[in-house]
Amino acid sequence: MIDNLLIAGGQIILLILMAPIVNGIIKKAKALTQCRRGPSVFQPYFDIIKFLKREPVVSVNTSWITQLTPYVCLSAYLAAGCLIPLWEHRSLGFGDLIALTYLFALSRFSLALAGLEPASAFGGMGSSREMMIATLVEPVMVIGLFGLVVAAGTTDLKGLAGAGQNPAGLLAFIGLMVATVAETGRIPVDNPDTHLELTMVHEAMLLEYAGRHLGFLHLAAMVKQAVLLILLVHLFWPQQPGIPIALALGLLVGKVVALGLLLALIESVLAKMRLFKLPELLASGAAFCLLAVLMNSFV
Amino acid sequence: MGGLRDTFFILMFAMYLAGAFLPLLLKGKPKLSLGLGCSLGAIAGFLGLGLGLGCLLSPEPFEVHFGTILPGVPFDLLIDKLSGFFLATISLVTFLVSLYSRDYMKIYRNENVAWWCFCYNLFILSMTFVVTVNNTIVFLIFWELMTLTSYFLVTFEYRHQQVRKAGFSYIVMTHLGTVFIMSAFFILFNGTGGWDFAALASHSGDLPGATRSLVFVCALIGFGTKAGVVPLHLWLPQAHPAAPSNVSAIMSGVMLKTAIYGMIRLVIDMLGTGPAWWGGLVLAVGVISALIGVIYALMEHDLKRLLAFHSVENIGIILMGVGTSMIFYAWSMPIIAAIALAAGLFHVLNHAVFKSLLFLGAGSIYYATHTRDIEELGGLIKKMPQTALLFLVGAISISAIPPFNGFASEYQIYQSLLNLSYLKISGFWSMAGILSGAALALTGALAAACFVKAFGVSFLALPRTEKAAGAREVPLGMRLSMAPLGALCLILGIVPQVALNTLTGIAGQLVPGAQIPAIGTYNLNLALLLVAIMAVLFGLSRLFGSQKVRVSQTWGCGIVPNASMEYTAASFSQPIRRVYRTLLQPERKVRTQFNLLPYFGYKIHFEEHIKSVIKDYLYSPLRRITIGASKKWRCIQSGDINLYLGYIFVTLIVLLVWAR
Repeated sequence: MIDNLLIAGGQIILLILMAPIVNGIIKKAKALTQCRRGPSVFQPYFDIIKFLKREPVVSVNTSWITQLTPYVCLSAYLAAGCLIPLWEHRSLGFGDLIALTYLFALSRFSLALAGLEPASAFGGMGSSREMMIATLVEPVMVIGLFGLVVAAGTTDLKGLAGAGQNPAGLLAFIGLMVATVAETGRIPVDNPDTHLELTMVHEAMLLEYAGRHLGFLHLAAMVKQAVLLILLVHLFWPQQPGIPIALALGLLVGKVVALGLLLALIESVLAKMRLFKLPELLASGAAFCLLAVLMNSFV
Repeated sequence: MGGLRDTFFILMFAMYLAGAFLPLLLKGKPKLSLGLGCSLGAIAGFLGLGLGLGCLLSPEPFEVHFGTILPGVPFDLLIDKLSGFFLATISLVTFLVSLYSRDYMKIYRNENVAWWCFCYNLFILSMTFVVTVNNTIVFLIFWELMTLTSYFLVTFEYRHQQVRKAGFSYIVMTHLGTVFIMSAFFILFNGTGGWDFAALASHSGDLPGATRSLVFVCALIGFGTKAGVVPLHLWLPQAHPAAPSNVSAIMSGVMLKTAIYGMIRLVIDMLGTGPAWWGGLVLAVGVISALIGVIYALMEHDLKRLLAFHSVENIGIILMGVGTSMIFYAWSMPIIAAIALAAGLFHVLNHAVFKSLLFLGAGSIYYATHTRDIEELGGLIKKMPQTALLFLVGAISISAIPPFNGFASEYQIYQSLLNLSYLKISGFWSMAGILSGAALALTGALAAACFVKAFGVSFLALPRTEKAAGAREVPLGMRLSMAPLGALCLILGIVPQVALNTLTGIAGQLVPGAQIPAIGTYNLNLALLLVAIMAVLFGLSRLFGSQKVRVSQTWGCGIVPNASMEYTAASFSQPIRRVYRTLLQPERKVRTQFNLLPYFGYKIHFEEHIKSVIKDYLYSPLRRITIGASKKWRCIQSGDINLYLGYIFVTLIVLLVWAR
């Protein structure tokens, strides 16, 4: 138990260190594809440190929920990160794939409540849209993941390492990638860089946050993105067991960054979709996942 | 041990009877009769909880003999593990709701509370008997008594037209259901010649397959009506808002579960192994109920109607567990069948706990604001902080979010559905397992959206009306009786294995020959991990960050925000209404009145309605056909007495010829 906790602690530190730079690299890659120079890849660290130093400001209409949410969100995503075995191929006993998807739901639930709390129209709009998108993403995610689960015969993340390395896995990967784009709030679903409140989804819920709270929530969003990418790496492009830890970690970061570059590319070549076109995008994702399930069920 | 259970039983029985009749005698003193009725109900509930747990944990069943009530029909109770579980669940909720009612019923002090106490205690007593008798005739008697007493509880505020209408639709629909249950029992009697549960269980195997399937379908329709599965759920969203909230808590928390009990008892215990399509049908009904229930819940602004639709959803989730178990049972895989059944039963318990918590929360809101419409609420977390916390616990639990109990049971149901796919019996069942899992995920996401709406709009932000602004925290007694339910939500979520392993014992009793392995869960580890990370983050930010939190005004683009700027329930659910418009078919009317130019609207009227697809496409044609047929049939009803005498004569001749 103790060594599991230590490994979990190590994974948390790794996630906190790695998540901002993955985000920085995605931003840099986006800038380069758009022929801009873009900020340094370390910029997210500077931003978060700056936010964490500042005193938070909360709306007069809010209660303890607003102040608790940053902690809940970040811990839920960090806990989700602890469920995936990163360098040692053993499960840590904190949960499986289903728990992982529901930890995401925990953080979404509390952030959506916090979005409603300041009594501004923008926050409510963000919460409402976020929950609507979640109802579209969750089934896609579950069909895609369950398709792999059936092939592997377990929901344990240790047993699922490389579960997608088969022809059906390729289809599932496309579907899960669509879901990942939606979950991480990227174009074409949501625009992380928008400054117009009316087009915001995730950012709209954070609108009334400031200082330390905002820093936590920004970090939470980055950790969420890193966890999703790590999950994809774990399922489709797993680590070889028995290699030294340093090499394993280096490879992991490299693979996550490679997937991140794919996200950057998708974001650069597509325009943001209208909100009510999203069901079509996610339905196409669901179709790919369903095909994967069909292949795994009948073959 | 048997002696102790006897004492518990006799005391419980006496308390319920006293709780029913003493208040009637003291009708002139409403305060005293209410206090007496509720206290006796609570004591009886506590004793019932003890008895139920005793029977659940002891290996041999507990028997009571009352003698015969009809020639050849003994009134016996046989409380085995399954009955013990349902008895314990009913009694637990009764105990807390009775405590709650002492204060809550004060808002009805001008009504006939003695009559309420009479019906309430009799209602609980009949539910207690429904889950414990072991004879079909006696079962039907108490089933009927349960329906009648609950009808009077639903129509307690009979002066409102709407309440009478709701009561009417409740009693008509449940009686239609009872017809099917009676048919099921009579077909069984016809085949086996027995009324006794044990005799039926041992002889039902001799019946031909088609008869058994007929009994199964009758049971599914009959008990499904009472449980409120789609499309037989129409009475549910009408009856719940009509009834007082504490009654809704009992009805939704446990009365619906008596139908689940009946279904398990009749189908799994008495009929035994059936073809796999039985389970498949139950699973399909469960999936449809879960999805339809939750999506209509999202569109509701009446808090109690919203919760009622969530009961439809959760009954669906329970049936997903039961149906999966029946499929495994048909394939003679007793171990995973028992685990799936335990998952369903675990959700029965969890739903009883969080749904009664939520209905009591809705009752507290009604007590404080006298409205059930969440559009009129807002900002209650500042006025009623403890009620808000308890309601939030219920909302998180019902949305299946870890580490609370809704997640624990839905997790087990996911595992059972996946077991269906792992086995690879055929591609069809693999797909069925995965698609049901996806439906469960969609249900969970929609439920979370619904409770963000329900909690967010009623408790957070600014009060929208004077009613909400003037709300005050409810009496301590009401909060204290909700608190154990909230605590149970957390405990059952963190250490579900305690409950689960007891429940697999029940399933093991129904599925003979299964040596069920202990189920281990990691929920405790997960909860500890979450708490540990949060504590570390909190500690770090306390250590290094500034302690101060500045309070300021919300940014409203230069205008000081007021309640009219915040999101309403209708606007919150609008994107979902639009995305799922194929099912909901919303119709909107927007009328703008203009000042001068078409650009400067000064008054906008907006209304949006959704269609109840099931009402419009299933019930309306059915009603039209029935009424049309009756009109044609009416030509033989001329009102002429000679004609009727002629009918009687002809019938007599026909009968004589036929029975010759």
